[in-house]
Amino acid sequence: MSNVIKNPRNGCALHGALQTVQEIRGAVPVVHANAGCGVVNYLAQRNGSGGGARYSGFSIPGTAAQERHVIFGGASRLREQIKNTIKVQKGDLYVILNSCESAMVGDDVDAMTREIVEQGEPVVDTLVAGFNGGIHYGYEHVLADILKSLDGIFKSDIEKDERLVNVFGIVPDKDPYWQGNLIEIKRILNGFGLKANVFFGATGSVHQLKNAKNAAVSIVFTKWGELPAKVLKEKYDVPVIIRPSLPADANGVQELATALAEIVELDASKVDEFIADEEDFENSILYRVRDEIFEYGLSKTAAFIGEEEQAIRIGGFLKNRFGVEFSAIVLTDALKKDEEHETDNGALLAAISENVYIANDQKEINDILRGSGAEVIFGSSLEKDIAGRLNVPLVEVSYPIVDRVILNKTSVGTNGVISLIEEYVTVVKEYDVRKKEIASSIVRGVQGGESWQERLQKKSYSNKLSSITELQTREYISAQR
Amino acid sequence: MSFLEERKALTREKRLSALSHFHGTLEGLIDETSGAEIKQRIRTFSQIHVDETIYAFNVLSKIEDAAIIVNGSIGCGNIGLSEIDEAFGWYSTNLVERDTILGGDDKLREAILRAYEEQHPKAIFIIGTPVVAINNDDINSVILELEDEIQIPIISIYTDGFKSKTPVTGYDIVTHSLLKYLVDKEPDKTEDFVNIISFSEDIEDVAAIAKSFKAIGIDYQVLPRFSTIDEIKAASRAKATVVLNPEEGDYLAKELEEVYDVPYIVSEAPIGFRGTKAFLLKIASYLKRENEAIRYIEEVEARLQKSISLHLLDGKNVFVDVSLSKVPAISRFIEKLGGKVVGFGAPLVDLDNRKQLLKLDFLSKGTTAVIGNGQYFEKANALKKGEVDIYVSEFFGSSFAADEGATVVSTRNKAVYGFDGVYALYDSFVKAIRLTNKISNDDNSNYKLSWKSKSGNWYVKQEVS
Repeated sequence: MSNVIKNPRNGCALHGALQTVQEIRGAVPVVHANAGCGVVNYLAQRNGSGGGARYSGFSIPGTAAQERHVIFGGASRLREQIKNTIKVQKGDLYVILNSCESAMVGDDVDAMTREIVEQGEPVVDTLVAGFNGGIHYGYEHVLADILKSLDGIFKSDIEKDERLVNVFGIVPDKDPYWQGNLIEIKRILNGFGLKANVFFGATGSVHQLKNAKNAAVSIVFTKWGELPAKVLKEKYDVPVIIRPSLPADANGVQELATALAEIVELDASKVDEFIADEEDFENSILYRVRDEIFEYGLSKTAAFIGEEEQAIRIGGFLKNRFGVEFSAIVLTDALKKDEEHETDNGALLAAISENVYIANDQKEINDILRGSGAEVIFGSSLEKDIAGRLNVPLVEVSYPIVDRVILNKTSVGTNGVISLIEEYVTVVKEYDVRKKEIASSIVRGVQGGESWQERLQKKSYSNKLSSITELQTREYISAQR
Repeated sequence: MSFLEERKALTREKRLSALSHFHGTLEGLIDETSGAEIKQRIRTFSQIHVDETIYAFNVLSKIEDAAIIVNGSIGCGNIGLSEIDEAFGWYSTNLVERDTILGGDDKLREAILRAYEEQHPKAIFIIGTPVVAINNDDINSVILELEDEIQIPIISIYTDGFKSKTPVTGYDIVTHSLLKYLVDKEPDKTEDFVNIISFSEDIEDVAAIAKSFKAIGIDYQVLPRFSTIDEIKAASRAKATVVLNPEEGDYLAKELEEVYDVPYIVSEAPIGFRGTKAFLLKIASYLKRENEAIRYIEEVEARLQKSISLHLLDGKNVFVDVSLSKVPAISRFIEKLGGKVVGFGAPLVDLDNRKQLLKLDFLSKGTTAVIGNGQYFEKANALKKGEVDIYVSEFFGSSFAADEGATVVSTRNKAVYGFDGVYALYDSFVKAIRLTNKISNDDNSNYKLSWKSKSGNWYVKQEVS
């Protein structure tokens, strides 16, 4: 049963579908809901780090349903809206997104869509009522519905491409690094001699969606993506590989190659050469922070707050390569009861931490963090408050990240792992500066107005220094900034 | 007559005949809105826009010691992400399909108790959303039951997202609830401060006005945004009330005057030199601090004159897209700098704020007027047709105008109110001109050329009911 949530970080199915469609170039979302439903998503996203898509915010067509549409039904309003959308807004594919309202009222949207498709217009619809599920549900269902309907609209023959790989599982804007991650995956698949069929962002469009049926394989990173990949499997016999996470580093790249080789033919020597180069590159860059690893004690006790895929990827890497011990992992996207997916990553997660929780309630998360004894938190901007209270550094890796812009920075593959480590070391160093300031103020006797000589008389100075990391008074720290 | 008798605030359409759909000329708009009632229109093509639940959330989330519950599906609760700061917490009742069938009152009860225990607020606000409104959940009995138990006001904000086309209705609904349930009903005495009413203004805007008040020596409190529950309660003890944006704050100020005898010092929005001067002099003379005000204004005036070139906008066509209360002041400023206002957009015209249209007598009668929330497709049409060089906007997502050949002056993230605002606005024009033809790209436009060659009011129709 789902409960009340404090500071929910996941939007609803409509939001998931909306941010999925708006990142497909050439696709135009048409929101059949009251005026503000889509805007809520826009306002939440624009505070985040990803910038705006071409069809975002107030450029998105929508029926802006009014009371009369709730009472008498909104189908005729929707018909008028679709017809006019095609006349006003440029697009190769129009995707109608149905909301709570339209579901509760029971509008026959399918009939509307059929009618307009019969006229030769590229329109699909999907029901993504907010009360039916979250962002990830919206992502999976809208993609599945589009892939199911595309053939009926564009009617093209199958031309299999043995090098083409569909990429599923990275939810646009939900993964703060989604754009960079897709670019990195594309680069890696190119390195294997394959072609990535990416649907979103700078390198994806409606064309890639149309081409998805011709792929040699669909690869699903994380379970969110199983559904659309299965549609392609059932309709066009495109095999599916499900990976628990995106590749974290050169090792992950190697594992990905092994998994792919089971289904597509790879040039082994080419792949080996590529991976050797990746390893060499990664090692020689990370070599530069070897001193920091020891001097700042980076094998810390940590807590991770984020999505399952990130926990497996980032958590696994930090544990295996940096000796980080995870005293708590909180999965913010996992469902308490998941009947839709076959993937179960329980064992993988258990290998990273003994304490794996499912939570997206801020109070619950904060309580877990309080009890975790973590010296560093890998989480989102929503953990800033608790990190401040616990006086531990926060490395922002999961959604939402606010107050910064992330355009094509990646957190996966060799490039991603390098930027992750950059971030980790930077945050720890910044924290160290603060720690030194506090130490210096203690030495100067600012705290409590006592001089350090006075305090030395009361209790040993070294005693005081050892308690620095436990300073509870947050105000004191902010005064130091 | 006070509207407080009503259980909840009337929509802006019902109370003041608000019009949110119009595309035509200034003259046509004046004509359309001059009767005793304004005829409603609709759009047969529309784009998504802000609604009253969002506006209500924006105000309430900035009341320091209140807790907020968004009573709806998880997505409605997502609005909180737009206001993240370290200390801010909000709750979603996270209604799922089962709750839409069986009702969500158990979850509401849980949310209220959690909010109370975890945040120790001085009041709890429950924001209504479409699902709850369609289901007609009984919120009041939950409130009645729990108010006894926790002894703080629990206030239902009757927003639903589909009964009004005007998002400012959200401000009205909040106003109504604050007056009905929080403001001190029997103020024993008048205290020496002024209410500054702010709904949509950025904190920097409020600070610009606060600075002037300090310089003149007027004590103030800001409400309902950036306030505390105690300050809201004290509103009835104020010496007077001023409003930063009349079309948003009028309702609160008028009711304070009518029900609690707190005089409302009516003025235009304190924007531009003339607007700010009039605003400050009016309140100062009411408080008999005219001399201080005059001295202060003269001092500021001497400083300001130096930095402004009156030819900055020579030969430029400008389109202004802001709340109607601000259109006259900003348009005047643009014309003073040598520019020509060829069109304006505003979210609504109603029986109250229509007076602003008459202040636009310095513009030509054929000036394009677009009334609507967002509806950038119509503005794109107007920008293209009007050969607009500069698009001035206070709303999100203004860069669309760049694809229609205009450079953009955004008033976001800066103070445009008060004397500070005069230079900030001027500076925004300077910066925008530097970007002329740098960001724009015709191919990027989201709108078909065939639409932009059609008449802009193509999709605005008379409402038939």
